[in-house]
Amino acid sequence: MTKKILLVEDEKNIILGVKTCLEVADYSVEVVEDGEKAVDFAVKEKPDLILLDLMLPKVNGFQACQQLKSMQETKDIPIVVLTAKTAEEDKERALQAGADSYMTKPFRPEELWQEIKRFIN
Amino acid sequence: MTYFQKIFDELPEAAFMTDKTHKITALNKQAEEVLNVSYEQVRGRAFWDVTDSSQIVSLLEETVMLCRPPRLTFENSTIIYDVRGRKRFFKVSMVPLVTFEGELKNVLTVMADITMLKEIEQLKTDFFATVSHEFRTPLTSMLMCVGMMKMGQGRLAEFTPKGKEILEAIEEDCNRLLSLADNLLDLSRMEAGAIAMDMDEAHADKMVQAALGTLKVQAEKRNINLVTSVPSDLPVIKADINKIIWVLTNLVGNALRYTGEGDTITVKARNKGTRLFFSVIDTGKGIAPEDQERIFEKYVQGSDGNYSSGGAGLGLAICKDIVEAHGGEIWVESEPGEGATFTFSIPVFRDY
Repeated sequence: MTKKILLVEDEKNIILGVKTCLEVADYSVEVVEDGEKAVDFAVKEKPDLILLDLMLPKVNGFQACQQLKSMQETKDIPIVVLTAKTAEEDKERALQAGADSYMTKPFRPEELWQEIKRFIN
Repeated sequence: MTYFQKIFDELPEAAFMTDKTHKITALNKQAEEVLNVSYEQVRGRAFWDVTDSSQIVSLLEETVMLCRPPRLTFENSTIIYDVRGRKRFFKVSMVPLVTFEGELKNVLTVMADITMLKEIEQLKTDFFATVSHEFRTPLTSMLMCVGMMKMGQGRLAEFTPKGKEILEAIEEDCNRLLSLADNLLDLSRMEAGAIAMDMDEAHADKMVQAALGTLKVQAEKRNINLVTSVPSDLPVIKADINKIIWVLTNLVGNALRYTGEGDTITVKARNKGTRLFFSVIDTGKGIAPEDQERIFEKYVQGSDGNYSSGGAGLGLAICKDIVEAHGGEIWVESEPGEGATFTFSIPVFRDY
């Protein structure tokens, strides 16, 4: 069965790149552009994995991550943070908020596939 | 008011004198302001009654005990909160005042306010971090898209040989832009870090191993021999381990960039006198003599694009800053066509 990935990202060109990259690897991809919608979507649709940017409008990535990991319905969905924040503190903070993995932008298509395969196959 | 007191008061920096039991024997106007006291009140009182800066007190003790100025660098800035609770940074210097007979009478302490410097530095660090971050976002989509087009994954695009060459060129320059963004970030961190060098006991072999970690794979992929020659019984040095690893990584990374299949890169460490010498030797295309002096300067690149890190030539400049902050030196020896040897030295013993 096709695995469903939720991409939470607000940069349109990154959406294009990441979405295409996932689609050619046969994942189905839904995109939402802020943290609030991410939580709503995840509760309703139960994606197999969430790719989460940190700098998001409304509810930011850290908060969204925390909310998702504190709710029974969504706490088991793996969250891979995709961010341009390179500071060690940010990584620490994201992991503390419950993120399962942390990737620093930019990354190459192979790296993204590899990371996703760690959680779903 | 004595002539001396008048000169003393005119100094732009806060200054005071204490005797060998740390009792205050003179204190200028600026010091009154900085320490928020009046000289009349504190004259003859012990310095630790006047301030809670234990750092100054211990420096005074060191000066009196050893009868020489304490070892101070820009890193040892003292923080004092002013009347309004704002944080001020001071660079403290001390001089023992000794009689002809060699007896220590007083210690003169001068405190220069470097708050503004610190603030500017912080601004610069923040600015570089922002720039680096802003570069990453567009680079993400560019590298992602180019990567997929190159793979031809999912029949996104078919390219002629020329088209493939163009894609390679785009990817190469994206990577160059990325390493420039990384360099800027490193530079700002290193310069901010010059204030706080994290000195520790460092082993040459461990640092070389750590530096080569990720580069080994790259070398293997490109069929370049990566050889190390680091005896395990070299003396331990005092160094900021992460910064030295950064230097080694950068030098080997550079060597990788300018060597090709079948070339060899050797990382060597040896001890001579009171110094450890680290060398990165490659059999690549070498560096023109006129470039050898300049490549350690900021924003300079070899005339044919050689031996700089990622385009802006910041890498080697940062290496030089780091090595010099350790009291060492860095240089290059090369004949065009004969490869290049980058060497840096770090003192084995250094009393901090």
